[in-house]
Amino acid sequence: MTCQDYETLMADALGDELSPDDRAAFEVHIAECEACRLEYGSARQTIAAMRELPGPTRVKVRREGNRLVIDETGEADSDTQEESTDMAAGAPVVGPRGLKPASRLSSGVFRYAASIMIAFVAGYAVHAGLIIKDAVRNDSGVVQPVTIEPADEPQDGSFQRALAHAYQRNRGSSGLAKCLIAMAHETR
Amino acid sequence: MGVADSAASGGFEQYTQEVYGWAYRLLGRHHDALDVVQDVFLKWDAQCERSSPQQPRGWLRRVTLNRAIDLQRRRRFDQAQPAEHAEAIVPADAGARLDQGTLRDDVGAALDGLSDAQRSVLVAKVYDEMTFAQIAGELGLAVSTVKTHYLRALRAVRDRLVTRWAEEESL
Repeated sequence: MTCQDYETLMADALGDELSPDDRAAFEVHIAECEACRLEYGSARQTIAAMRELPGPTRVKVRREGNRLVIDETGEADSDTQEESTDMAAGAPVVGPRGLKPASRLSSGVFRYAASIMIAFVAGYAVHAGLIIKDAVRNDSGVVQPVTIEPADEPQDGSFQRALAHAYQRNRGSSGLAKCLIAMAHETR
Repeated sequence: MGVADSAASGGFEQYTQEVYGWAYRLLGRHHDALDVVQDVFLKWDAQCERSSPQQPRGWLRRVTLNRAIDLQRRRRFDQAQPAEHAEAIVPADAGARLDQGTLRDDVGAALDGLSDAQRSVLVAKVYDEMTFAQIAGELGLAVSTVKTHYLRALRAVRDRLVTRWAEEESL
């Protein structure tokens, strides 16, 4: 592998996103390659220098009619400051590095996927093979219980019945993908 | 209308510091960052009159990035001689001890020389600690492209700082 091949690993290393396996390979390479080792070291210094810079000053905002009036508090908003100082000032602590990682995890896609998985996990099957009970979300997003008798055939193309039939025919296969694929076939 | 005003301003207030911080990191100038905050606030107000964003922070970040990039482009266009501008912020007294102010100038000048995408990626990674995947999603780029931008941006800033470090060592 050439140094060019390690570009992606270099980016991951400088972005603190190296996987353990990649880290081992990267460390072996920079131990052997002086050019890459110097590049990595200088890039790390650059990042450190950028983070040394004082952050944006703290601002206070008030509304006057349709205008937003922004006042500086005169306090620097920097990582170098003690957090207790910021807390004592009564202002929320937002450093130049932005919010804490936990708040970035709440994406709409993540919540939607989680709700779908919870809906499937929340369902259960009575293994008598006679009745399936499940909780599915209807088109309005409301979780409703669905009961399907084996003799029942879908009378309409409702999402609930299609999903319940898909679950019934794929009993034991709890994979979401399998159920959705089966549902797609069911509703044709 | 009063209720909408109250809701809009209250919603924006809790994000003001973040919006200002994002703009400041991208532009490096306090007053430019304030201009962006005002622009974003006006857009926020207009948006809330129609419907409040479902993900306020994500919406505000996207709008802030766009406004900051717009302002940066206007600034570049307004500059008659970019080379002269760059020279003007390099300390005339090279023999003097370099301080935080000139570090900010050097980093700021390096960031000014980056493309919009490179600067956005670098600031998001170094200061906001976003992942490459998050940055790619925000900017509508491939992850590999984001990583390339990141490396090139770091190299450009490093090259600027290498000159500074060499001067410090010669003192």
